[in-house]
Amino acid sequence: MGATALLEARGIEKRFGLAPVLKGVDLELCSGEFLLLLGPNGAGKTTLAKVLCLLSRPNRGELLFGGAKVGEAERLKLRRALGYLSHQSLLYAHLTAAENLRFFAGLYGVQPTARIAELLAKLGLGRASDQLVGTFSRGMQQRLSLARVLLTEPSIIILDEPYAGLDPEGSRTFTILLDELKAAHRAVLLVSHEIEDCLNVVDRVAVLHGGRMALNEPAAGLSAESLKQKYFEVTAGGAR
Amino acid sequence: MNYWRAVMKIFAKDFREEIRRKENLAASFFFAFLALVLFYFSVDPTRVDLGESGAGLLWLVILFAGNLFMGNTFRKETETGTLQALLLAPVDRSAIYIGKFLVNLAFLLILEALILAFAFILLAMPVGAHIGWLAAVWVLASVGYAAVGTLLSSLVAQIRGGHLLFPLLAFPILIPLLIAASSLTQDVMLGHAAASVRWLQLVGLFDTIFLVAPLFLFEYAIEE
Repeated sequence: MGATALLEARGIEKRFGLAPVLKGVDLELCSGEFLLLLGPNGAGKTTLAKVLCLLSRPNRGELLFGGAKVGEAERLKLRRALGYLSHQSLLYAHLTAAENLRFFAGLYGVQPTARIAELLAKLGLGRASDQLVGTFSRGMQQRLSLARVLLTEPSIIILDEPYAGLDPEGSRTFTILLDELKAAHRAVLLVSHEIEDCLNVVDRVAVLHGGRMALNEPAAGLSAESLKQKYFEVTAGGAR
Repeated sequence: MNYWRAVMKIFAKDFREEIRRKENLAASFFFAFLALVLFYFSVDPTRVDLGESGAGLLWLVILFAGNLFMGNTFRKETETGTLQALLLAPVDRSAIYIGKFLVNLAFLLILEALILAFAFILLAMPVGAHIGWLAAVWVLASVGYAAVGTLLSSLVAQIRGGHLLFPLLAFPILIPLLIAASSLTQDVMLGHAAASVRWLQLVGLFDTIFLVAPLFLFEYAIEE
């Protein structure tokens, strides 16, 4: 890989009851790297994303942040460096857009006032800042979710199916935002099925299948067609 | 981030949201009002001494009315995924518990104040003369109820239909607290507050256990 991994998962195993979901997954995310994680439904992508975000404790395996093992004492440090955007908005419907951002800024100890106005304007939500989030369309909620993530200026961003439920215009806007994240040299793990939309921004592609990493290689030189072909090759035959 | 600042952020957010949403509080206050109106028509104060038997009735109303909003403390956060956003924040997770406990305590105290007012007006219960003692006793007992309610709500939040499980888990645990609170309330209404030291000790012990234990257990209760 060359560069030191900013976030590394080693031998991650996760079971729900007796059902194993992750069966010894290794993954590295380097500083400034953009990694696309693909996989069929039920492959364990969201579970892996949650383990990396410390939302779920693995049954076995370890996480390393900046080369150091993440123990109890380092969990707060890693959470401060992480931003997580899922297909759910993770926003409070009965608070306004600005109130949501002020609340999260407060939890992260960020001085919010100027940054909130700037982010809302940048994401096209400047006029909606005093509207309740419950009245927002899916696209607006997703843009506000991204504002929530960017507010704290995380060095690692995990995006779990950010395109889910977005219309073509929303998807186009989101792809532009991904380009901006790439330009800002953030370490990004992007969990998505939208190969065409994502391939031009990612540095590396990984495929999770049946709880194991079935493919992990640089994206350079891969076309959408060749990646799809590889994807179908490694995921053929159902869950292993 | 400062621990208590995080607690107060969560408290303020939940309080504002609940006031705007209203669904839990409205159901709870309406139930309490309805129960007291029913007592008004079914209990004849010339035959029944409400100073003797009213305390149990009041705590029964508080138990069921409180259950209506406390059982949902974490349900909405789980359904909308916002609990994940809270858990992602770089704050000690016990701050989430304390923030939500304080919200539950605040709403419980508002509910109790209304119940006491209705009891005084509708049922002519002798609460006026000992209001200071009564307030102290009810605040102490409410701390225990809110602590248990908040912890159990977090435990059942990730279970489908968990809000139905909440009273089944909470009521048996709350029995000692309710007995002590009812006895204390009765003693205060009869003017024997000084004779209730043992009940007061029981409530204090209950409060301590259920305020301290979740500080260590909450992270494991809430994580997948």
